[in-house]
Amino acid sequence: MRTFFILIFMSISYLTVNAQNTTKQWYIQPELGLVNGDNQVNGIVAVHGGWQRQQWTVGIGTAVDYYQIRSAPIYVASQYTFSKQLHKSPFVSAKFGANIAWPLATQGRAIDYEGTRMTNFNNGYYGELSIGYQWRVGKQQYVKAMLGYSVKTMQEQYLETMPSILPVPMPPTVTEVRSWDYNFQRIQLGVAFQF
Amino acid sequence: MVFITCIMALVSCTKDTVTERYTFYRPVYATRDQVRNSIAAQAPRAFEATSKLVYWNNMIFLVENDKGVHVIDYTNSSNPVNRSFIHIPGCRDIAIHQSTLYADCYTDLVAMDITNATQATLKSFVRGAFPHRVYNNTYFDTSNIIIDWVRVDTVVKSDVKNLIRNEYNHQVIFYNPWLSSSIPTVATGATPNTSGGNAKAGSMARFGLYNNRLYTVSNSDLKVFNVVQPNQPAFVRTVALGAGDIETIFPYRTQLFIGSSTGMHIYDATNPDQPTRLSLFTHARACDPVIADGDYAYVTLKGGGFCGGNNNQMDVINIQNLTAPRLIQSIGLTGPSGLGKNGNQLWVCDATTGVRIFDAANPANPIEKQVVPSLQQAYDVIVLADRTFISTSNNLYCCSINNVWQVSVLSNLRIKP
Repeated sequence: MRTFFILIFMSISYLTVNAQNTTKQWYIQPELGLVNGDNQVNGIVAVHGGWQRQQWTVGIGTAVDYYQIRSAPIYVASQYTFSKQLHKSPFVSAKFGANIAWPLATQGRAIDYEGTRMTNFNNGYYGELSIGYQWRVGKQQYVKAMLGYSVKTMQEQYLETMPSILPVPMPPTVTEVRSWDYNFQRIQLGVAFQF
Repeated sequence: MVFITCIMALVSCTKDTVTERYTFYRPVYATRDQVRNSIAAQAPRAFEATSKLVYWNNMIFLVENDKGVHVIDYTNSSNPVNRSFIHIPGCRDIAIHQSTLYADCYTDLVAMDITNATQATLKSFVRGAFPHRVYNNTYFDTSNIIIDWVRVDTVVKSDVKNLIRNEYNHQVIFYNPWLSSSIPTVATGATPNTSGGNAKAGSMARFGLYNNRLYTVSNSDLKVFNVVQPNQPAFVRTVALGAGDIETIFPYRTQLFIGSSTGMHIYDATNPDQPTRLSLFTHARACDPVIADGDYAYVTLKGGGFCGGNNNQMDVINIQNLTAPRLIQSIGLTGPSGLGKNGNQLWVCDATTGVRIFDAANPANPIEKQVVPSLQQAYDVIVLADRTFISTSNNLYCCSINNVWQVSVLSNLRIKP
């Protein structure tokens, strides 16, 4: 999956850099979305900004993703609009970057024989591929509807202490790492406003 | 149609997965006969851990918990020679009487002839001598014995919805050595009674010898074995100690000094088959080995860990009146464990500080003369007239000390990395 997104990103970047059209502008695009996986539906709030050049946009952005375990992805985003008539056109977009773990206070707890303890999270990656449709609602302003597929990963772990099976004298306990590598794959439905 | 196809394709891909990685320990079982038949002297091998130790006939018998006993020849203190390894599964404690080695083998007591230590031979096997030695939660003295634990690294991939988060999902098979240590061991330090021979053991011992009796302490009781015939130990009786936190035993003169995490018990062994309680000196909760010499007993208290409490000190106790032991003073320490005494020298293992050496010319008021920081994490010590043996977490040291309290390390055997 990681390789897939890398290839998508590199392809889009290549096309962007080599675009011949000289139409260009800066833009900002806030988004709201719902992510639906096999366990829950939750929300995502995102914003990215960047550079538009004819049918292509490329930018950087961040989001707050509440699905399962809250995280804050940061990513590079790109969009290709199929029609040169930008006021009304389908498009494809892709995002790829790092998924920064940002668990809620109620998340990240494990219980072992010593009681409840907080766990630690390591970052993973974030990827998103969408198709959508955009309508121009003003000069350089667009409303967009998108349907996509996104993946976020992260690792949760803690040091698990257990009574020793090792010889006394020291130490009386042994400690091992217990970890969970999460891979969340969701359908994503969103709306955005580019200006 | 394309849109619906895309939706269907994406829905089939919305699988939240989790890859869980954890470690547990799996027991390896053997029958009692298999265990018994495996007890034998073997070729010497490097030790992988250190524990209790006993000195006998210029040799150190070093226990490697649950594995057996290493026999190391210290005829030349500067050049010790690893002579042999006595394979005794489940061994935690040993004692030596005349030329017989006593050791626990899980719930059983074994007696081995060590006249030739490199050819130790099993002489007798007392079944069920230590019934309290159990593998907590998983094992209770059946015909099978857990002889080893294998570390298993596990990877399990599953749907997130199958992950039981925030619940007790521990998969480790516990072995709590402390709960199971209701087992025997030996003692020394000052000069404990050893019923003949010249064996000396460390202060962390749970076995003690006096007047042709082998005494062993579990967490809660004292067992008496008659060893008039050294190769044929005979169980005599169990004496309830009225406590559940017993740790060590130190026979001295006609008394048994028993260390617990809440106090020091003194038992009279004038009738060796029927020890009777003389007194209990209570102290703050802590791990507590004890030695005695003359009219004084020395108790180290180590707080934290499985013993609880937070005191780290050495108590000097007047035992002139055995029925009313009296605290003379407490000396602050870092995290003491074993201690040993010979003449005026009082050696105390003291965690990261190293080993402290006191001048006990005035036994009521030991004066610290030397700290040896290089001997960190020392566990137990045997102090002889001319040399001292110290087991640390990774080493077995042999040291000497001169008349100006300067310590020299004569040799250092390191555990196998």
